Amino acid sequence: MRRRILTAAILLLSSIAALGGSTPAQAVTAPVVVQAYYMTATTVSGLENQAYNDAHYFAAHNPNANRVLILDFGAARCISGNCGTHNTCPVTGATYGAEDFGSPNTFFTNGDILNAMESASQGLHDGYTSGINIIAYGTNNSNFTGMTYQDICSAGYYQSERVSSLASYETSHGYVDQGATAASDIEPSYSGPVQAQQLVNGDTNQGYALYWDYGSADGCPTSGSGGCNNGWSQHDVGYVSFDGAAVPLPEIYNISANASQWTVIAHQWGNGYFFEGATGAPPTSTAQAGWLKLYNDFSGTVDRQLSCFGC
Amino acid sequence: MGGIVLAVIGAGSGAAAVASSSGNGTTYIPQLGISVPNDKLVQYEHAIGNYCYPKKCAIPRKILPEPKAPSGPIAPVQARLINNKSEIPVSPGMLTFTNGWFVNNGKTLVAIYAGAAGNNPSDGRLVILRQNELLGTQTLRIVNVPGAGALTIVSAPLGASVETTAQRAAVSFRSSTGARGTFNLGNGKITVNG
Repeated sequence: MRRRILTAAILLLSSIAALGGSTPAQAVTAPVVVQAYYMTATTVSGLENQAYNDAHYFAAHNPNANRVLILDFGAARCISGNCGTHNTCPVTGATYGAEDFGSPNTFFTNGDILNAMESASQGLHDGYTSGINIIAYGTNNSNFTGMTYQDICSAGYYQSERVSSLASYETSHGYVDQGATAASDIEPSYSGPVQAQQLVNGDTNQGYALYWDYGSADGCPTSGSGGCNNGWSQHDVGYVSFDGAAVPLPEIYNISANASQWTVIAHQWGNGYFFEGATGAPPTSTAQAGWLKLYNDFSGTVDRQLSCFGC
Repeated sequence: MGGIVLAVIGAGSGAAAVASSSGNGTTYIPQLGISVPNDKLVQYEHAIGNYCYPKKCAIPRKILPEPKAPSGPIAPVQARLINNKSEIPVSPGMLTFTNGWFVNNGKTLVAIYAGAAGNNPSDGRLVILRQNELLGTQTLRIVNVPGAGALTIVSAPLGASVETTAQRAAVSFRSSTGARGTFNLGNGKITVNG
């Protein structure tokens, strides 16, 4: 009888945990920080090398958890095929990709990027130690000059499609400890809100991939209602981070201000808004402090993803 | 809140895992250890598709041979200044960008992005990106010059012959308030004059 009571108690606690609850005595500590990477190559072979080596390092340092490897390939771009003239999404007959952070900034097609992500998949496999490693095809919403809304939507659409191809690659090689997703560093200062929303719309319409927003809430108020940078509203930030297939992994760089900005946005959006975790600023201690501040400020769920560029 | 619905699912290792769908529109995914909204559930399933969630294992009967690691060269980039039209990896929230400097010897990369702190334009800021192409490491270091205003790099080693030595050299800057200074990449120290 005593054993059955104990079993029932364990099941009850498990159910509470499954619903996101916690026992009062639990002290919350920040998750282990994992690396995220800016892609800086100027050649296709360099991009593949960097992706492989970054992923190998990432896998070797996975803290035995499910963690997202963000590979930020730069600004989403329409590269060729009458860019700037399209009025449907998805566009057919054009080539999309990203403009990376090398010098000079280099345009890579989605085909190049898929090859690099497949190299990353191999790197994860070769460096594997533990956990689940999810490769994220990351972009950003910087400077959409020469792209129509439908071009931007198509960039998101084909980003999701390439993620699907990556997942097929992982599966076909039996890499059962890997996954694939899309992501973007969406920042109000980079573009207008309607433009940025097209990335999320395109990804959502394609339907395969989650769209992790590891961007910012530049200029949004830390309390109450008000505008953000570049004509954005708080609702616009909520849209690109939680509408459709989007999920938020927000930048918490200026810890107090950013955590407050995102908490207000989450509460205003309502409707089940939660955080996947946070994207922190280096060093590691600052990134972890950012996650903790968001966790303490927000009354809802903050999951335990914590990525950092440059930690 | 409605009752919890339990479903047995197959995990990649062959062990059983249990997904629970609650009445609040979320489903708990044991492989991820989180509850996710049902309207995003399909995408979450795809994100961990190779963990055979929720019902069928995606592992094919015939697994393709393991590819080799990429072995192509990483192209060096001669030391150069970059202007504020360049796409840079630093968020505007961290840096209001004025100009920068970039070098890559094919093994290690250093970039300096100069400007003002994104949250305080009266503070000068340098953001230094270092990357080891072979080890897969990347670091960002932030160096502030309080009260200096936006910084601009005015002098740094340039060209192909300095791709390695420049990564330990001194880079000079001036600020919008008239101060001048240097940042020494070799020892990480900054010097500001007036």
